[in-house]
Amino acid sequence: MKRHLLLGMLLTLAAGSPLAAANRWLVYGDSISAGTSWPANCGICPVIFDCTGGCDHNTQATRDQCGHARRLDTWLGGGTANYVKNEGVGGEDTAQGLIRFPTEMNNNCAGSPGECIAVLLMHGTNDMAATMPPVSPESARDNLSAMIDVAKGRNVDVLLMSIVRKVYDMNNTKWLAYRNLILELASTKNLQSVDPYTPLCNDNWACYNRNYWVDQANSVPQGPTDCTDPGEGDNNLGHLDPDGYDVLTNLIKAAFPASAPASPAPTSPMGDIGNTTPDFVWPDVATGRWYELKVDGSPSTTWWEGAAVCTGGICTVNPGTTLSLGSHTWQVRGRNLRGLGAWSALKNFVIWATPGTPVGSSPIGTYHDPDPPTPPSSWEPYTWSMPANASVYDLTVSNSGGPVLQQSFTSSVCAGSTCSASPGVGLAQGSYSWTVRARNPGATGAASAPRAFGVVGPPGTATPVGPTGELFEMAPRYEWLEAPGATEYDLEVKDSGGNVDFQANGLLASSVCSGGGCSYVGTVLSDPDGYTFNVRGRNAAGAGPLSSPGVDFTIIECVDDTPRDLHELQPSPIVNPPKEVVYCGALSAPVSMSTYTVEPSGDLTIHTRDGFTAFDGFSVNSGGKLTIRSP
Amino acid sequence: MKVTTHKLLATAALVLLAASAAEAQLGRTVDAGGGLYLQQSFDRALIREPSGKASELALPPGTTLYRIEPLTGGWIVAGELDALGRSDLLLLRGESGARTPVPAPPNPDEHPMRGNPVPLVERGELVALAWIAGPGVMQSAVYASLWSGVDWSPVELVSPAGPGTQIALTGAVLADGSWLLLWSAYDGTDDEIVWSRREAGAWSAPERLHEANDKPDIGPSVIATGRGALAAWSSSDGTTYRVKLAGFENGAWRELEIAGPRGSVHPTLTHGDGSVLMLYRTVVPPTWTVHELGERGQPLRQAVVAHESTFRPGLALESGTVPTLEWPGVEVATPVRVEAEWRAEP
Repeated sequence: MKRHLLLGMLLTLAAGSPLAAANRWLVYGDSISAGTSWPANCGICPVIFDCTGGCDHNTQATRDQCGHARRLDTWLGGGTANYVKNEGVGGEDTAQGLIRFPTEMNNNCAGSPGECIAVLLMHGTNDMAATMPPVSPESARDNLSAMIDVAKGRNVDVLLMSIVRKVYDMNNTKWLAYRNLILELASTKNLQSVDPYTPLCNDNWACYNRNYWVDQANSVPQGPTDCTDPGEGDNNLGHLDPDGYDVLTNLIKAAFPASAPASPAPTSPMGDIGNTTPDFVWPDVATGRWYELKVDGSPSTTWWEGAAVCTGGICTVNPGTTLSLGSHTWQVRGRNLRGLGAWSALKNFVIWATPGTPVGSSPIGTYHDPDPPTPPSSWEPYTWSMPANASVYDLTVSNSGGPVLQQSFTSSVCAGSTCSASPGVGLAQGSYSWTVRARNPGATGAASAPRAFGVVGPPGTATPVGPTGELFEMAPRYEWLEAPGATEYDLEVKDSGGNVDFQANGLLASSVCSGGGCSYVGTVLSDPDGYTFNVRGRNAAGAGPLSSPGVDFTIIECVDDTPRDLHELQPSPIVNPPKEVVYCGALSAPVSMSTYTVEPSGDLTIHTRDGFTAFDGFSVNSGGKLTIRSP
Repeated sequence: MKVTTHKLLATAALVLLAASAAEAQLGRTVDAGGGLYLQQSFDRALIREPSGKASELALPPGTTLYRIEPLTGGWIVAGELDALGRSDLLLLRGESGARTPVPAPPNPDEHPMRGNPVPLVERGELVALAWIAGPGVMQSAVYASLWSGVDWSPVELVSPAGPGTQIALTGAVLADGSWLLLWSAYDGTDDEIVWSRREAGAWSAPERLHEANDKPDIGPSVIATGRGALAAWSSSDGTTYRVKLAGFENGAWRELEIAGPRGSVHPTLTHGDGSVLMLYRTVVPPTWTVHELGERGQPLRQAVVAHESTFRPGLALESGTVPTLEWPGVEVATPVRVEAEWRAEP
């Protein structure tokens, strides 16, 4: 009972403290933020013209009840859930504000309890007013920029407010110089900004509305506890009265979204992944300015600014934290000036270890296939080492044109430390390389180093080119064009009866071929006769096809090889000549064509062994045949 | 005059003044040293003289006072007066209880904004005035004019308009009779402390006083010494400020080792009893520190007062030796005085 009572008291105390687990906004700046002013006749007494609950401005509780801090606190609900803390210090310029800022951030935004939502930063009036040595607009901007960096470094948003005008700066020249740089800075830093210039204006004194300012010069407070509103007037240092704070507060409220951002819908990671430092991706949500992740129930230690991590409506964050293998959950929530959004629904994912890299062992080198691409291929199976964490293997076989075979195998192809798989797909002749890559449901490993191999089939068709026509030689020279891939040749000569009269097998291409052509002098054929010559190539894969058709030639018997003059051989006139005269000897220059006549008309063919220069009435064909045409 | 005095020891365990005395006074303190300073509050200023005499000075609405300098038999205050559409220079001489306006130097370029005047006083007489003027804050230049005792010489251009603001002008007449001006000038990247010296009738081209950097250097204060001058200013490292000190001898500046701690800012240099007093504020924890320096800037003694006020106090050496900081009290005429004790420099 006593324990419960004590616990209840502690809870009550915690709930009653504005620091207890409250979302927090810091009003930071000078006297405008502090909500204080100093009447002319009062030296050291800051009078709080706009406070509820007392005038002792040196207590935090009272400061919190001043100016726009108090109004915003009320508007946001105040108390335990939301707490607008006033950290304004009168008389301060941006240089002093910069020095003080990290301390206030440490005191108020160092994590629990609660969340520091934003700093409502309004500084620079005293830079302009030269309370100390005047600080230039550029240095005021640089000091504000440094404060913003500190806030952002602590994951705290900043609402940047331009300064109120300096009284008697009638044309606002000085004020505009500071105000413009502050608003530029807000844009540069991607901050929401508040510019109270116009709302605090009327048409007097180049934008000055006396209804919004205290008349400090004419107020005569009776000491630091005199909270009397000194009334409205012209003589002041630019301190707002309650009406002025109402205007300023309404401007700030307008910068606040209507609500905290909606819950985002996480996109990835989800399901199986292989990255222990995954990117976290979700669609940007309206009015979301900052985002926080929660992985496995633990909120991240940082917030990410939407402007920095969201592009095209998609937000991507990599916390850089290495997650363990296995199952995880994650959530994301947004934050804006209004506060924290709700956490998204849980997204589940499983991190798999990245498989190792297989090492391919075969095929490698050159393989001869008697009948490519008809499977089975003699070089199969493909074999590789079995890496860790693999459940599937993706085999890729490529030639110079790209992949020609892609096939996946489960780990059932592995035994011991080796995997062996036969795609059962034949490959045409050519050069190839292959790789294999291991994967699992979440991760894909690196591909193995490529292994090169070649497929070689039997040679193509050889083309016989000679001998052709009629010839005297009984052992002619056979000539043919090389067959692609042939290392040997088989020759075959059949006579007119279809009987093989000559055959030569296994002639090495390296011995009989040169420059694309091949020749070989065979043995003596049996008889003068008509013959057909065919050839086929051969290599380690087997024999190529026999040439088709072959070349035909005729062996003519030589009956006279005595050298003589043609005229002697066939004196003119040639009467009743035989249709064919065969002469195998050397033939000297013929006599005049005119001495030859052929009676009766008809063809006379003279066969010679030697070449003979053609002349009118005579022609010599390539085989040495002299044809004498009848006139 | 009713005076409330607190005596504090400058020890490590500093005690903040009572809360009712914190948060400081309104306005600004301009300190000429030697017990002569003014504290401005709206359209009036309280001038305290070395004799302890305090007098009130009524000011036109819109006045900001920048300097008070002792003159033979009196003083001169210099400020700027905001008026509709323009700011202009305001000079007022006090002598034997009378306050006499001194006409502003000519404005041949009809700059709508003139301000930050710095009277240059030699042997108790006003000899020149320097000021900042231009069409706008960020298009400002530095000018000067010589005072004959009757009228002003033609305006001299000390520093033409640059890439940005020129601000926080200060100056001193050196023992050799040359005039030295320092101010903070934006160089396109950040504010730097620059200086110019008038010798033989000509101003030197403005030069940067310190090493180049890309963080603000602001709010210089300069004081003549027997050997040349000392200057102090606030230098940012991007995360905080600290006071720096440099000595000017033989026409060149040399940065001195003594400097305020991290978080110190807005130093002023005034003459003490045969020494130089450097007063600056340390923001966290809130203290005001006085260093007594030799004429070459060597540290002699220091006194630290814990006080939350962001406003500069007046500084005097009570009885010639005791550093006393003074803020206006709840009633302006009832100042809060804090006497500190010197301690040897660590």
